[in-house]
Amino acid sequence: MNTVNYPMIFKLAVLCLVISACSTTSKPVPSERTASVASHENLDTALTLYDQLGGKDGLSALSEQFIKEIASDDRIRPRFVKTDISRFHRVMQEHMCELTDGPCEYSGDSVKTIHGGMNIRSGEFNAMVQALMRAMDSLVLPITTQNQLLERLAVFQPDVVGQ
Amino acid sequence: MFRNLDATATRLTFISWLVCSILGISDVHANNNSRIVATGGGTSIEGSAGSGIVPWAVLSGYADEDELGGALGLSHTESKDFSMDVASVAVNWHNRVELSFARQRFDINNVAAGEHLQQNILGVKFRLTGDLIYPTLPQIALGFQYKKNISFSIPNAVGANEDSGIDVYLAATKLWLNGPFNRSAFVNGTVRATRANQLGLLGFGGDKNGDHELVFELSAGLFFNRHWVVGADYRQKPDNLSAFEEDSWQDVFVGWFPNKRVNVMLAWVGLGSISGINNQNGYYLSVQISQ
Repeated sequence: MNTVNYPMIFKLAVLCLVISACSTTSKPVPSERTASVASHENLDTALTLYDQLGGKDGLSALSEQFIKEIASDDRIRPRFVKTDISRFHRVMQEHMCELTDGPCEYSGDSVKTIHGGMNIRSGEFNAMVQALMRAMDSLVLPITTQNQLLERLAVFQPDVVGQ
Repeated sequence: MFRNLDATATRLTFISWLVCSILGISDVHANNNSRIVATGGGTSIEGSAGSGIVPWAVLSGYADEDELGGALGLSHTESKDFSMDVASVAVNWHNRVELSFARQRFDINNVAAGEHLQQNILGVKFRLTGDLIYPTLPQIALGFQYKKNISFSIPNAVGANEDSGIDVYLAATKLWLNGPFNRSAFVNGTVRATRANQLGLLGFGGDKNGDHELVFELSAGLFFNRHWVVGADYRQKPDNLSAFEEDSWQDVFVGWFPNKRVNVMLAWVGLGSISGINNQNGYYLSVQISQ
């Protein structure tokens, strides 16, 4: 017979699981968060992601560095040889601004439409993610800010890969 | 050569090491390691990608679809009265199939002078569906581990039925990029059908139970940043031998992924009772070279 007991470490792991699950579903919506700024000490946590990224100037610098990182990666650079880089820079900023609760409205086509027929591979998407990580690292953005942006961009993976 | 299978297997492992290292160095600029750092996990004591004691649903190394990758692992575990060394190699084909080979050598000098238990483990793992990071199902993988004792005399003497066995496991792993405290976090759950006594080092099946039974394994961790992770494992185990009680295992680990080439894991382990001696607590250290 096999006796099964669940020691403390197992309970802790389950607790981690529960915390993780809750933390991904209980984020306040941006409008509530902005309205709830009441005291000075919670100002930091109440900043939108757009603000944490340095607002308009921050996103411009990030987009520029991101493009440099893409250009330095042989896996993904060929995808951009016909791209109008100044337009790409502008539209990317606009999209990131909207996604990070900044004061913008993205005017481009849907992510799925843009990547239709391109047959982008999983590895190319991951290469783009890592180009963005390098760009954020080189601008010395805190990991907590980086993770928030990555989470908001990761949701587009199914709209990009294999379309 | 046949007289010394032991040395042959060790030699094979090190040749694989060498080949992979050379391949890795010459292929730095090829499209062969597109997955994100740390997503290949470490090397488990059975050779599959995972934490120290639990195989995860992720596949070894950093190969993405259409790429080749893999990992070489060396680990040392030291408890109060025992120690174990493992050398392993794993190959990842297209982030779809992982093939692995591990050699375990468990030193029982404290209970039987000069003796050790050894076995080989041949593993295969298939990624079935889902994804570790992106918004879909958790990554789910099905794995098999064929284990064979090098010498059956000690397992036989303590009541094991056979010198080989197959473990079958289903693992699911999910990572949240923006988890608790805006840190990345992961959880892995594994269900395994096994009849292995102490991983198989004490043979397969016994007088108390000779059949496969289902055991549960769990890992969870939190990434401080992209390169450092802290986590814990729990692994339920069968208890087939009346001669020696067998306990579940657990550990708390710190993992370091400085880049995609190297991973180091250090763990504090609780291995319970082994070969009749209780409270086998100690440490585990593993080094992985990956591609």
